[in-house]
Order: sequence, then structure tokens, then C-alpha cells
Amino acid sequence: MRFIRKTNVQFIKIRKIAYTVSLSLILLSIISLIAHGGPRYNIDFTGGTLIQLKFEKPIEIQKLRAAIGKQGYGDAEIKHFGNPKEVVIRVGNVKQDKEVSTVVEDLIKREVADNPFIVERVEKVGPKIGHELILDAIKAILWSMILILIYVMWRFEFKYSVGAIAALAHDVTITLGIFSLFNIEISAPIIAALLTIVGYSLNDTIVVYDRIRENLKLTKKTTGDALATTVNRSINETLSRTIITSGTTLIVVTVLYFFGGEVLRTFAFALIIGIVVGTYSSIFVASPILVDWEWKKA
Amino acid sequence: MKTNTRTRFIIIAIVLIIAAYFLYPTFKFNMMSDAEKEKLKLENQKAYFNLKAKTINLGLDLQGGMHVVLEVDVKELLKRLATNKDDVFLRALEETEKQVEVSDEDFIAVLDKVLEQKKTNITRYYYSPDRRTKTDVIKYLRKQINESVDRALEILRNRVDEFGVSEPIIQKQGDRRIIVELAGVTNPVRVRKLIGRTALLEFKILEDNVISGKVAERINNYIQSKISPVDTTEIEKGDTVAAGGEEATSLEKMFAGDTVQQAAEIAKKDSIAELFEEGLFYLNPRDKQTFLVPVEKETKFRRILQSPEIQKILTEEAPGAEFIWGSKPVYNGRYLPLYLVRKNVELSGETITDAFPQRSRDPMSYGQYEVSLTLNDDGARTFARVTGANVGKRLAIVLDHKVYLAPEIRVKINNGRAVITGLDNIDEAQDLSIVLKAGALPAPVKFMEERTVGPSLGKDSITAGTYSAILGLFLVVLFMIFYYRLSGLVADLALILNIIFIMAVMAYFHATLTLPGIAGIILTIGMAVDANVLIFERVREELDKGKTIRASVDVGYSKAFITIVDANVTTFIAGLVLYTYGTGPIQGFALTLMIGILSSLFTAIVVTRVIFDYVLETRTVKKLSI
Repeated sequence: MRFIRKTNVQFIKIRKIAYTVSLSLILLSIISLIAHGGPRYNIDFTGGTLIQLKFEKPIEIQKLRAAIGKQGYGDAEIKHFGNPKEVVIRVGNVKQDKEVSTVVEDLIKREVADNPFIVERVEKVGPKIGHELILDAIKAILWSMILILIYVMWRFEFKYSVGAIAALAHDVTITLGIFSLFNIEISAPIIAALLTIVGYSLNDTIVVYDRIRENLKLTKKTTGDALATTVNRSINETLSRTIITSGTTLIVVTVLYFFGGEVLRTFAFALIIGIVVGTYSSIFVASPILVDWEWKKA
Repeated sequence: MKTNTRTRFIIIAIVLIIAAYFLYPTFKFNMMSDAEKEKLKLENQKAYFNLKAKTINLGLDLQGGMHVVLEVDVKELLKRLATNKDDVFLRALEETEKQVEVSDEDFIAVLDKVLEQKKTNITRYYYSPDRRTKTDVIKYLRKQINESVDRALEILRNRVDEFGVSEPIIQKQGDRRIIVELAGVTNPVRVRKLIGRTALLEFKILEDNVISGKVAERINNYIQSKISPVDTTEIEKGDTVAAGGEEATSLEKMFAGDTVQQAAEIAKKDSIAELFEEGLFYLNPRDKQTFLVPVEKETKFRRILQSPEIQKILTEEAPGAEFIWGSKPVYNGRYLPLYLVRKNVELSGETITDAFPQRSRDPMSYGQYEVSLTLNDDGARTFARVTGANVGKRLAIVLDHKVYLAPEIRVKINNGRAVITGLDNIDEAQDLSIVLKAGALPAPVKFMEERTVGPSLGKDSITAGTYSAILGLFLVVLFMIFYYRLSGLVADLALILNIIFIMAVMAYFHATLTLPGIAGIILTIGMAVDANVLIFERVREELDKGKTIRASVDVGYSKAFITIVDANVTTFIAGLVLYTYGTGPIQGFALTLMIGILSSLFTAIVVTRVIFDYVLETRTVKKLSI
């Protein structure tokens, strides 16, 4: 069985189109991020309280809002979580002596007495921890990029790492942008997903690079049009593998998205976007940039 | 079979046996029913924990439980250590706290700066003959903070041990934080009390009723002077004191007509003017000593108490005394008691050697839950002296700045025993005994982070995670057979071995499997076949070039090898960084991802190769099923 036999797609020739697509996506992401005032962080980063409740019968959001509105939590974010019996209530940082979760639980117990519930999850994060977590996340993403850059420079050449990092920045920006467009919150697991995307996208890129390096050893000319031809051939030769691996990874991540439960859903969503964007970037961004970099120098 | 191939087979077999050996306890443990586990735990606790220590540990997000991050309240600690706390110093502390909240700066450094801005210096407040310079003082304070964290850690450990949770985790994070993880515990309110309370126990003498009455009178006069007479119509009448059956003598009746109109008008401009109203407090008619504040007016009255006028009344009428609130409302929960207590600490909780919960046999409080305290010799002696010298007065038992009870001292107490009575239930009595025995924290702790997961959510997560993993595995396995035929089957075998190895490594290190960790394993299933995809694609290419099967397989493996290593190192780096900067569940994800990468290198390259070599050596293959 083979989906892709020998291909000869002119990836390098159409790179200007790919660049335009990528730049528009990046621009769109940045615009969305600016319009939304930066990424939307969840309580892991902003601090606050999250309460997940499971009721015996389906529950209306309006009813809950009315109930907890009595103590001034009317502007809390209340959403169903996976099914109409479960809800997640998010309250921002409040300075008070009593525990927010206790107050909210007691209120609902009193106001919605005909529909008993159990507390599934309570997460309370102080603003200081959240602040530190943002710093840690930024540090983690930067450090992984720096270390990977060093590794690629050591294994390949500097010009390769330029393409790799450009592809990475491309992937992370667009994933964040799509999250911002869909108004999905960035939580600590999403940062983990982003870093996985960084690793995964590089995985693809390096497979192509490896082939380029191998093919370059066979041809004498390593600049100009010859380089473009070699790069193009390498992308085509590895195309089958790129698509199969992305496919199997997408299969499991999609399964995770649909069956892995509510808690992991956004995490799986981030990975789906990341894998698609990462696969695209290793073909259309990382390698073509290599060619352009060489041409600029020449 | 060539010797080389045989050797490799043997190596793989050994690895597999070792993996099975590591996995067996996990398998056995999870096959046991809850009842069987309980039974083993009762009959042979050591065997139970030995077995459990060899299994894959489930994270709190999977088994349910509570994760708490605490920080020692440096502000309170510094306040306690300072010798002469003047207003400038207290204000500087508040300012410093605000600044440190938004930045990561060092508390002491900021306090030093703030004090200097206020034209004073830190040495003034912490001076002692052996610390004369600023450097000495700062060094001393740093040491105190560090030691306080260590002591708090130890005390919390004692408390949690007594509380009886299996495998609690209590550890230091960074310099100032303490992480407490309690599996299976889902009652945040109780845990919060158990680990969050300072448990500072103090015995203090109540101010007598003459002084209390005088203070009450002046406070009432002050309040009346702030109320506009128009509003006085709403007098709460008939506030019967249930237990005594007497009617509370409301003070506004006693001092009616004292209102001054002008003062009321001035008061309106006051920031706390709207707080004043009738019936803010009453003096308990039974003892003429306890202030009773209607519970709904507590917040208002608290704010009024802070006003400088009230503070002035206190210093004039009862120097050396302070107001301390009661621990819970009385008289059917309608009034919160407030006591005027002498500041001097007669005896503190450090002298407690034992504390245990019991039910009261005293006729006054028969059947109520209480905690019985035993004091050491020193404590008993002091207690005897204090009770002896204050017969007829009332002794306030103050825990964490709340008066639990204030009984009258009838006789001198020589045996070094005391009781704290009036507790709600046996749990409260039990927990209070634990914290009193373990000792007071050196400073209050703040809850920085608190995550509780209920057991049902954990179970749902495990079910959903396992289901996704099996379904994902099934689909990938099917796809590989469909796409690569028999070779795909070989890759599938490697994939399944890979999962076994990941679990075995986790069991060996007694590592924690979290929900994101399960996601990591699922992701690994998708990515682990990548190495084989790379190899197979390469083999196909070589076959297309017209090479022999043997040569194609050899070239495929050797050329793909470098690519596989390069590609996996990058993901590994990402995992490593994630492990370094992440916490809890995220680390679990990074861990499974890294183990998965290493193990997939072994299974995808070594295991599949051996199978190919074996097949090619033992039979003549005309066409490779790839």
C-alpha cells in the first residue's frame, strides 16, 4: 500500500505563495492577539478560583448565576463542562477572609436545593504563583528554542538553524493566534502542548534537513539553483514519511480530543493545530528559507 | 540463525523479562479489589506498602486528593521579630507587602529600601548587642526566615502524620514554599484548618467587668454621638439572650438621649460615618464583661474598632488590654462575643506535652466535644501560679487570636491540666488536638495555590484516558498493517513492547502517572511508529532503486538511524526543558514523553531489526511485505 509514489512537487518554486500564506496567518494571529489584549490566560496564570461541580440533574447556567450573584459573584464565568450536568465556575482574584469556593458552594447548596451536586474539582491559584508561572512558561519556551538551536547548529550548519527557528516561531505564533481567535484559554497544559509542538515540528524539519544534507554530499554544487533543486528533491523524497507520521500522530491526538475527556480536550486541540501547522511549516517554511538564506548570501 | 542475531534476541528477551518483573507489582496491585487492599493493609502493613512502593504512582489528578502550596507569611514573621513596632514600621511592612506581591523582589531588601525612604532604618527594629550593623541584621533576618520555613515543614509533617493519610508528600519548594500533597483527601475545609492554622495557643486574663463596662459606655457614647437622631427609631428590641433567658439590656436604652446633632452632621462627612447605627453591640447582662455583637453587624463593628477614637478610649481606660473576638457566635448563633483581654501572655502552647479529644463530663457543658491538654512541669507550675493569683477572674484561652472560651478561675489549678471546650464535632476536636500537640507554626502560612480533585473525576479521567489510549493504539496498529503489511505488523509489535517498557520504567522509579502523563503516552503511540515509518520508507526507496532485499534493509536501517536520533533529540530537549520548568501534572507529561522517546528508539531500531534479520537469515524472501 502506498499513498504517495514518487512525487516532484515544486515546493521551492511556489514558496512565495507559501510565504504569503504564512505571513498572513501570522499577521492575523498577531492582530487577534492584540485585539484580545494578549493571550487569554486561565487561572493557572491570572490567579483565581475554579470550581467544577457535577449536579444530579441538568442545570441551567442562569439559575447558577442568579444564585451566586447574591454574594456579588454575578460576573463569574459559568460554563457547562462536557455535559449539561457539569459546570465550571471561574472567579477572579478576590480579597476576602472566607474561601471563595466555600462561599460559592454554600450559596448554590442553598439556592439550588432541589438539585444536589458533588464537587469534582477546586483549583485556587494565588496571583503571585500565576505571575511566576507565566515567567516560567516564557523561560521554558525560550530555553527549549535556544537549546534546540544549539543542537541543530552542532549537527548541521548555522543556516539550517535559522530555518528551523523561523519554522518554530511560525508554529507557536499561529497556534497562539488560533487559540486567541477561538477565544480558548491558555492553561499550564497548553504551554506543555506548545513545547511538544516545538519538539514535534522540529522532528519533521530535521528529517527533511537530514535528507538535504545527505543529498548535498552527493552533488558537488551546493549553491544557487542547484541547492534549490536538491532541497526540492529532498522535500519530495521525505514527503511520504512526513505525511504518514503526521497522520498516525493526528489519529491518536484526534482520538484524545474526542474521547480523552473534557480536561484534556483543549490540550488535544492545541496538539492538533500544532501538528498540522508544524507539518506545513517543515515543508513550506523551514527548507525554503534555507534556500533564500543561501541566495541572499550569494 | 547467526550468533549475532541470537545474542540480540537474548538481550531483548532479558529486557522484556526485567520489564515484566518491574511491572508485576503494579499489575498485582491493580488487580486487587479495594476490599483485598484493605485486608492486606490491616494484616500486613509492611507488605502492603512494599507492594505499593513498587507500583506506578497515580497523580492526584487521577486518584483524587489535595495539592497545596504554602508560603510562610514573612510579613507576620518580621512583625513578630521586631522589637519596637511603631507606626512607621507597620506602614513600611504593609507597603513592602504590596510591592512584593507584584514583583519577585526579596522582602527584606524591599523593606530596607522602604524604611530608608521613610528616613529610618532596619537596624533600629532588630537591634541587639550581637547585631549592631545593618549587614548583621539582614543576615539574621534571612536566617530567621529560612529557619521558619524548615520548622514549619517539620510541624506540618507531624500534623499530617497524625492526621493519617497514606503517603503524604510534604516538601520544600524553593526557599520559602512548602508543598503538601494529600492523596484521597477531598475535604478542603478540614485540611485548610489542619495545615493552615498557626495554632498559637495563649492563656490571657480577661479585663474585669468594671473596666469593660467603662469602655463599653464610652464606645457607646461615641457611637451615639455619630448617629443622626432621625435614624434612632429603628431600635432592635427584644433581643433575648436565649440561654440565660434574660433580656439583653441594650445600651442604647441605657444611654438614650445622648445623641448630639452637630456631631452627627460632622459624622456624615466621615468615611466610616455610614457604619454607625443602633444596636451595634450589647454588653452581656449576665457577666457585664463580654461584648456581644450581632453577627450581621460584625464587619461594621470591626471597622469601627479600628478607628483612632476607639483606640484612644482603649489606651485611656484599659491600657495593656486589647479586643479579641470569640471563636464562634453564641446564643443560637446570633451574637459574636468580643472580649477585652489583657495583652500579657500568661502561658503559651509551647508547654503542651499531650492533647486528646474527649467529651465533656462537666455539668455545664455535658457531652460537648473538647480537647484535654496536659502541660509539662514548667507549664504546670506557671499555670498554678497564674490561676492562684487570679482566682475570681476569667482566663481567656486564645487560639490564633480568637477566644475559644473564657472560664472563671475558681481555684488554683495545680495538676497542669486544661480543657478547651465547646467544639462542634469530634473531627474538630481531633484536628485541634493534632495541631496543638504538633506545636505552633513559627509564623502564619499563606495558601498560594490549592487544587482539589474529587475521586469520581479522577476515575472518569482514568477511564477516558485508558479508552483513548487503547483506541488510538488500535487505530495506529491497524493503519500500520494496512499500509506496511507484514512489516507494519513488526512495527506494531515494537509499539506494544514500547508501551510495556514505558510502564515498566515508570514502575521502577515509582514515578507518578498524571492525566497529562496519559496524554504523553498516547502521543508517544502516534510518534513512536515514526522511526519505523522512516526506516520503511527508506527501505522502499532502496528497493525501488533495484537493490536486493538484504541490501535495502541494511541501507534503510543505517541511513534512517542518524535521522531518527537527530529528530528525537529535539523532542527530548523540549521534554527536558518542560520537566525543569513544569510542576506536578506537567512534569508527568514531560516524563512519559522522555521515557517514550528513549524506549521507542530501542524498540523501533533494535527490536524490529532483529526480526527482519531473523526472517531474512532463516528463509528466502522473494518479496518483502512492506
